[in-house]
Parts: sequence; structure tokens; C-alpha cells
Amino acid sequence: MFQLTPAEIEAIGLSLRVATVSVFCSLPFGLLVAWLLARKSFIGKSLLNALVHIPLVVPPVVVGYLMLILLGRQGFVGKWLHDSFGITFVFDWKGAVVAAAVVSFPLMVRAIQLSLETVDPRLEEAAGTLGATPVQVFWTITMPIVLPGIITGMTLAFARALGEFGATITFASNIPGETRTLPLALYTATQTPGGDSVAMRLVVISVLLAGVALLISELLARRAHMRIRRGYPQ
Amino acid sequence: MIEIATKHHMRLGNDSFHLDVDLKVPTKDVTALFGPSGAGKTTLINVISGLLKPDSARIIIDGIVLNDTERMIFEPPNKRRIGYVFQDSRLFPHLSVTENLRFGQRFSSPISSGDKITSRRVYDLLRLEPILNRSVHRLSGGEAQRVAIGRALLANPRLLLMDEPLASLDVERKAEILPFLEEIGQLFGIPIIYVSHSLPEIRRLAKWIAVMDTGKIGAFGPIEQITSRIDLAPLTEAPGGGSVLSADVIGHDAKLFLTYLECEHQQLTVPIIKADVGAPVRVQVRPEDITISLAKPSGLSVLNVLAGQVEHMRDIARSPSVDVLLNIGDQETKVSLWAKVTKLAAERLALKQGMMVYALIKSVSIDRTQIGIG
Repeated sequence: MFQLTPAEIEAIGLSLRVATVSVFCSLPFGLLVAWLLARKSFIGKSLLNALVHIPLVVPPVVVGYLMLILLGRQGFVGKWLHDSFGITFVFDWKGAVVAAAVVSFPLMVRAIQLSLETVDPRLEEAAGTLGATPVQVFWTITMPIVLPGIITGMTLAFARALGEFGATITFASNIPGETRTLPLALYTATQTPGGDSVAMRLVVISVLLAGVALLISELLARRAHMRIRRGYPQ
Repeated sequence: MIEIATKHHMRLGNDSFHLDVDLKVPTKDVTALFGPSGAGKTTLINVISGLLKPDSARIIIDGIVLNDTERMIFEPPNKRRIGYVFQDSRLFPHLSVTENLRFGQRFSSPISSGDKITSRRVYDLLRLEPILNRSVHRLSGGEAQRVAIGRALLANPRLLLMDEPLASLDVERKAEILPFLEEIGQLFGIPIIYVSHSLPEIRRLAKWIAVMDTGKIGAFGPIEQITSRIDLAPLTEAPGGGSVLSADVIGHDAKLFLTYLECEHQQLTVPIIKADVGAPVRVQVRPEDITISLAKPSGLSVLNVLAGQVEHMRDIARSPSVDVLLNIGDQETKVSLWAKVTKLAAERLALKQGMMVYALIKSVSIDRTQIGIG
């Protein structure tokens, strides 16, 4: 049963690539937005907050369709990207990356934001009086304390990206080797007569992949946590 | 000289708070910033450290301008080299004790061999060696505060600010840390501004005191002068808290466990302390430990007999006692000592302003915690 076909291997490889690239591309933005939401007060903060969380509450198909309108070849931004840089998202694996990134973004931001909120700004003040510039304070105090939260956020986003279906199929379409990730391959198998055994194999693989991702993140977060147990010396 | 002049207006809900301070503090010794809570003590040292950017300020330490609003100068905290020991130790939870201690050295210019502050001396002074390998989460409150003090010192500061460093500790931990604080100034020669609302602590540690109330400095001067000022009595809790006598060590008697002090050409005998001959000390004397006598006594066990003059008497309403302010120096150098006696005794002795009397103080009534060195 576990003799994988080239098409299945391709789907697994593509899924991993899409999820990985999407997580790392959205990380800088995730950090920035989480920072803004956790630490700054500005006009339009609740608007930004709502905007970030939309993909969490709206059906992914809706998100995919909106992206199609905006980033499709005739779309407002998509046309400009295509004409100026030759970048197209539709029918392209980069489109699957964008879809996965948008849909998993709120999960990443939430985790990082929550962990940023646990960093006591008074620790950063203390580091300042010891001679550290704001940038040095960020790298020596804030970042290490937030690290477990970042790892958690990245894992959640990765798992969500692996499972992304609706936005991908709407926005980037279902093209073998290009945008047919695991869930899309699974969906295709269920639509094919006699595809049950293929579907079953893909289900097992999906569960295994998600399990391994969670396990790795748990180990990483625990290592980072070892030194940052909650609470301060009383 | 540390010059601090600042004005700052803050809104706290419906209240507003006005900080208006003009203060010059010597660049050695411990200066206490004393006042009730809400007086603006922490706000003021936050301005000095740069953690708070005030409406206007001029802060100059030995000619180095740290803040001058008129000239658009505002050095951020990390460039001021001002150590800050917070009420809560604020140790970094993700770093070990050693890494916490060395944190400041990563950023400050390395300590040169000519400097008085070395890791060794700081570790020795604060007894840090046994806890270096401990996790910061496993430190007691007193140990955490010792690490916090060490961390501030090792950043090689030109001034050390301490914001009620003992307030969160119980009495025993306080007694554990006080001797360390006392030695910091002497060993490293760093000026310290010490915020506290505990007068016993201040009497023990500080040479100078700035009394603060509602955002303003009410008085500044040597501690023994300020605590004997009648007009400040409501603020300084004097005479209840007692007076401070400045004295010099003139000798020890190791067999009898006594130290001899000289205060205004008069001898004072106290339980033995660890201080060199010639070292200046401050002795707190509680008003109720003083007996007043009209004649120089004989046949009494009391060792300390100080001649003085009644300077002022204050009746305490609905109480059996009266506060008597004695001057045990001469007319020019006033050295004040508050005594508390019953009204009945004062009547029998016919105590009056200007009378020459003797103040008797039992040596054993003065314990080690009442003597500050340096």
C-alpha cells in the first residue's frame, strides 16, 4: 500500500515546499504586525487587527476569490506585478504560497503577539540602563523571551499551510506538479473512480506530516523554554 | 557635583502631578531621597536615568551634560552610564546569574585595570560566588537583589540610583543587604542616590538627605541637620525617629567589645564596630534612650554623658511626655539631639530653654544597626 506513485511524491514535495516558503516569507511581516498590535497604539489599530484576522473567520474560498480579484492577471495588483516584474500567481506554485501565507497569517500573528505581551517592558528598561541600545535590547532581551512564541506561531502557520485547500484551489487552481498540494491531490483522488486507496494513503501521509511538524516544534519550543520558565524570582 | 534641575507635568487619571526640582548633590557619598509615597521620588530618578523624558531638564554630572532641554540635549538611558537598582530586582529570566551580572559589560566600555570596580571585588562584596551557577528563578528575594546590585555595579556606572531596593524584602533580608549597601560607597567611590521612605535605613546609609514632598524638594542637607530641624519634624518623623550624631572613631577595645567615638569634643562609647580609627560614623540615638540630668552624675552605670544646652521644648498634647531638643555642640556648630522625658520629670527639673544639662545615653541601648559607617 505504501508504494508511492511519482505524482504522490510530487504532491508531498510541493506541499512541504509551499508550506515552508510561505512560513518564512510571512515571518517578517508576522513579527512586525505582532509587534505593532502588542506594543504600539496608533489610529487604525483595530482596523489592522480585524484585517489580519479576516482569513480566520471568512471561508477560505472567499479569501481565494478575493485574492483572484486582486492578484489575478487582470487584477488590480496582479496586472501591475505581471507587467512590471513578470510575476504571476495564478496557475503557479507561488500562488499556492501566497494563498497559504494569507490564510495562515492570523495564526502566526496571534501566537507571536501573545508571547510579546508577556515580555515585561520593565526588563527592557533595565537593559537600557545597563548600556544596551534599543536594537541590542531587542536582540538580547525581547527576542530570546519571545522565541518560544515565534516557534509556536511558525508551527501553527506551517500546519495550517499544509492543510490549505479552499483558497489555493480558488486562487491558484489545481495543476499537477505546480499547485496540486496534498489536500488538492487528496480531493482529486476522491473525485477519481477507484481512487480510494490513493486517497487513503494521502490521508495517512497528511496526518504523519502534521504530527512530525508538531513534534519538532514541541522539541524546539521546549529547548527555548528551558531557560525562560514563566515567572520571575520573587 | 550632580546638578539636577527639572520640571515635568503628568496627568494621572483625574489628578495631575507637578515635578519641580532644583537640586545639587555631591559626587561622592550616599544621598537619600526621602518622602512619603507619591512625593515623586521615583519620577525624579527616572528623569535622572533617562527612562522618563521630562518637559524640561538640565542634568549635569561633573560637567558631563546628560540632559539639557534648552540645548536640545537628551542622552538616552544607555548612554548615561547611570546604574539603576529597581525595587523589584528585574533580573533577566532567560539568563543565568552570571550572564545577568555580565550583561552590562557587553555594552559598556571594558573596565580598565585602573578602575576600582572589578568582578572579583563585586563578587566578594556581595558574596555572589555561591550563587553564580544558580538559576535566577531559584534565588531568594535578598539574593536576587544582591545580583541586581552587582549587575548595576559591573556596568561601571558614574552614578548609582537605588529605588527602595529593600522595600520588597522582609526584615531579615533587609538586615542581610544593608551592610553591603553601606560598603559600596566606601569601596567603589560611586555616588549613590538612594530612594527610601524608611528613615532608619536612611540614617544608617546616607550622609545627605533631600526631603521630597508633592513633587518638590523641601530641604536638602547633611542628615544630622535635617533630622533635627523642628520645621521639618512632621515630614522627617523627628523626634520620634531620633537624631543622628556625626562622630569619628578614636579607638577600639577588643576585650570589652567597645568602640570609642568622638563627637564635638565629647566621648561616646558604643558596642564595637568594624571601622578604622579616624573613620567617620553616624550614630542614631532614640529620644527615649536619653536621660536628662542637671548635674554631672557619679555612681551611675551609664557611660555616655554629653554636656549640652536645652534648645527647644515641645509639649505633646494628651501624652505624658515632652520632646526636648538639646544642643551638644557650641553655639556655632549646633549638634542637635532629641530627648523624650515625662512632663513630670521636666517640671521637677524645671527644664527651660537655655539651661545647661547633661544627656545620658546607655551604651547598650545603641545597637549595631543604629551605627552607619562612612
